[in-house]
Amino acid sequence: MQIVVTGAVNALVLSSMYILVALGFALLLSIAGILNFAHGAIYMVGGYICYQFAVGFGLNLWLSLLVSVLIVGLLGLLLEKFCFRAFFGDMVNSIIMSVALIIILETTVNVTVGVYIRSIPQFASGIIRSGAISISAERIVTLIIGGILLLLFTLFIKKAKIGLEMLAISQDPVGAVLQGINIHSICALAFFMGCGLAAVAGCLMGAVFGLSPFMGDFILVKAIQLVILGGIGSTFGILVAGLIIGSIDATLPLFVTGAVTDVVGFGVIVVLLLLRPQGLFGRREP
Amino acid sequence: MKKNLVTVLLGVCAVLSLVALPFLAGRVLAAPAEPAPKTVDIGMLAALTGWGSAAEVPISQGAVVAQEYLNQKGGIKIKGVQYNIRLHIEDTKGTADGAVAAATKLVYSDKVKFVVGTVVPNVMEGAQTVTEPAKVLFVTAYNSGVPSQYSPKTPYTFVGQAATIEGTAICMKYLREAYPKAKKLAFIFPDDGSIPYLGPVLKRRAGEVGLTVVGDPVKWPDTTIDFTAIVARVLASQPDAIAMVNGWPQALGSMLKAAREQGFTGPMFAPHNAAPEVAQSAGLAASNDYFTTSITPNDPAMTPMIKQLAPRLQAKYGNISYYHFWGFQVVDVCRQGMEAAQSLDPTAVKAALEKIETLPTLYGTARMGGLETYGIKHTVCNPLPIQDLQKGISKHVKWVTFVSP
Amino acid sequence: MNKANRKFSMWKGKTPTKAVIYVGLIIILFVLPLVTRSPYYLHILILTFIYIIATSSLRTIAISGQLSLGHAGFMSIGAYVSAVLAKELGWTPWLTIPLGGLATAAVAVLIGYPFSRLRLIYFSMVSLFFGVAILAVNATLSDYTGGAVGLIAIPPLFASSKLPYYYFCFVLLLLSLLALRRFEVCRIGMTVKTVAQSHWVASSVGIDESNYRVLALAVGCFFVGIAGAVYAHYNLVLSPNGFNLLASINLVIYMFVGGMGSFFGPLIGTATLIIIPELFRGIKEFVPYIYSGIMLIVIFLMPQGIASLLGQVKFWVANVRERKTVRHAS
Repeated sequence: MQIVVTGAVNALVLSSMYILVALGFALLLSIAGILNFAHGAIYMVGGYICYQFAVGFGLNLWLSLLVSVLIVGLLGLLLEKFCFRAFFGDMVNSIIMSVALIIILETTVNVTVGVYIRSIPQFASGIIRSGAISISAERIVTLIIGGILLLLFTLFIKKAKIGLEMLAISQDPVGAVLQGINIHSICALAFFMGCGLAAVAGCLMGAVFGLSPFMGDFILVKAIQLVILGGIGSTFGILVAGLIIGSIDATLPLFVTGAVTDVVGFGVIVVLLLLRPQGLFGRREP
Repeated sequence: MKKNLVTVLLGVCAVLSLVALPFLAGRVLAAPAEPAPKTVDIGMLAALTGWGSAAEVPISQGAVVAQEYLNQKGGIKIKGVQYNIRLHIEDTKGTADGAVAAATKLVYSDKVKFVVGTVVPNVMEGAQTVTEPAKVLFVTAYNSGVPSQYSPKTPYTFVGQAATIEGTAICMKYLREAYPKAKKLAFIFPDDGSIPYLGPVLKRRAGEVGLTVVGDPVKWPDTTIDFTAIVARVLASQPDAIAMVNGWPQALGSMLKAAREQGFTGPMFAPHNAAPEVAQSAGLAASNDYFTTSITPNDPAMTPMIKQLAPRLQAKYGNISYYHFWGFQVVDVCRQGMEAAQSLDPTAVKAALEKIETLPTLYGTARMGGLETYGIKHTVCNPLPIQDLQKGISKHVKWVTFVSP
Repeated sequence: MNKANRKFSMWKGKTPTKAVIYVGLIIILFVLPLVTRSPYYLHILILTFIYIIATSSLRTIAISGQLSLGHAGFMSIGAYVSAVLAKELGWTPWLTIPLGGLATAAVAVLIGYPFSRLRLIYFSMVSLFFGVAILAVNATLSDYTGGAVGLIAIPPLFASSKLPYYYFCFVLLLLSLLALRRFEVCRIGMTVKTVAQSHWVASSVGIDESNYRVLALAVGCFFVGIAGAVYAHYNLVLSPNGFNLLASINLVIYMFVGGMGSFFGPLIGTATLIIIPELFRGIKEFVPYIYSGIMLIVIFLMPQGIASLLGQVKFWVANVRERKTVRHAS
């Protein structure tokens, strides 16, 4: 029973974290047309900045989270203006730009603080026990925060005017411009939000699993898995894909060793894509 | 938006400073070359970038301190002539390919005859494809227990300090002393190819101290982030204690945390994974009943040499890491071999190290061992300090020596 | 046809200047090992040759409209198949290397058809993740492949020394480049490029685009499989880390930085990004900054890649000549 509950909670925790990062990645992909490989690195930087403020400067942990989101969001705006705006629509050069970014970010963190083992202090300490079941409070809190953010994001996309404008751009950029939507400022906002979401995930994961200069590499692959499986351009797709992949990652290692989990995870996706190349809910290319 | 190089450079600088600003305490690795009349070149392989750099950068720092310290104490004396050590550090990038390139540079470009360093099996193997044919003496910083990295097939490779098997054996003995009620032991190994070999050997060592091994050894892949499921599988066989054989402190801390969260209160131990770092990763709540073989730098029971080195390391790098001592050790073992052989020829040094009875190391007096365990007597079995973690505080317990048969 | 026009004709035109440059380079590289003798430089060059083959084959796939972000995964198939066959069955590398190439091509054909339905970015993402999936399969078959530890004691192609490897890889490189170039300019290759530009037009002319895309994928994968296999029997040690996502991305970067538009783009890009960071070994852990620095300089100053720069220089030189001729004439 313990294992079942642990597995379920873990599945939801992992899913929500993967989804947060994947959403940011998908935002940039749909709206700015950029494959931002550096997204994992940004997630990592978010975690480290939170640590620096929480432990280095002694700021309240939740405040540090907020500060980290703001700084990383600002970073996103700077990246958009200086690095990616010049290559809007130019996939080749934006890929090179994002890879250069990963290298710069990871190397900088590695040579400055990478040597130290770091872990963000827990956002909620203690273990919740009920009968024979014990789950860490930290994971529950992570789950709740992730869920709330996802809800807010979905509402934003569906209801808010800017959200609808984003949707418009992702569906048809030319049409959107003709409607008077300012692509560059929306892109900037997309960067801010995408990077902000990644930062939140980085902080939460940094608390539960610890920080490492290369933690972004792992999450990047997960984000891409989610976006492919869910289908480019569909928020709902990412949510469903996140639940599937998160569940596989959380439950399969209970029965088989790690490498097999990866193979199964990939296998599921490959089979699905062979049947439905555009992903679960993706748009059929014309 | 004009693609102006100046604007971009400014932008990149802005990005960099935003990231680096919050933590400006960066230390640049500097390997000072000591100009001296006669020098002997020692090459060092370390992962300065990439996975594993968290541990291997301190190892290279320790080697730099060794160079300074030993040269100050008169260098290496061969037949009355003093030779100073000149260290060449090359980046292996944490991969086998990087190791091959770095080793090729050291052996063929810098013409070194002695190489030290590396911890991870496949990086070591990459380096060995270069060092073994060239008959270059290779003193490794660790041995994960994978036969291919260290066996009679690699005659020029020596293990610079007591490693996995020795550390685990010492921990298992201590387990019996500190937690006499714990009889059933479960093993967790990283998936690095060591299980088929380490499994039976460690089972024998466990049996020798009266422990029963329960469950199949559980293995975790290198890239594991979430250890909940893996720990759950281990706990399914209901052990009294868990042995986490090898892994980086980050991973071990996660395992410790996951185990405690799932309600396991029994002792957990690991060889060579410093308690303070594991505690950092596990969090305060989980940092209980963990022990390892690692140096507690400021404890009075440390050896005189450690007491001399600790302030140097603190002054130079602002912190003292267990890995610093690894770096020092491998360079020192090289020196001892050269002085025992009274020669700078790797083959002669190899022969001398094989014959040597005892070596005075920074850990204390060590003996060579491993003939039966590994098929070759090339492991420096030095005393190891047991370090205990309770309530987040690390304490030194005692020194124990185990010489692999 | 005046002189200026002739300089812009295709490679088949065989202008004297170009021929001189090519032959000159070949001679220099041929004679190099006899001059330097340093195994370290030879090692770097050998690796460069192998990676140029890999990157050029990536370009062959790319010109069919499929940007593969999992190319290193295919390289690993060739490498491991060849290494395991040689190690377990004792076959000579001379046999297993072509087999490695064929195995990689076979896998390409297998997945090529279903994936050829995917356009542009979908294909790229799926190929990215196929490359990563290959490593996961590698890890499960660890009894044969050694898993995370990697494979060691692979039978070498030549007994020790770097010299035979150098010439072998160099000749292999020339042959591969020749083959890939022929493929690109022959009728089949031209059809592949047409398909990439507009599949509507292509199908309206009755061309089955799936077949051509899979063909391009198979050809590209065959050569990268060969490159991987040669790498295995040269390095004698294989580690899955060497073929991970970062490695695939590196190959793509080599191609982009060199310039995708030119056949020699991959060559220039690979050589630049492998050799220049090696020159900076002295700054140790700051080498990645050099690497990313080169990338930034290229994307901002030469967005079409380094190869385009050379094209611009040629254009400029021809322009100057043209003006001189005109001045003389008037």
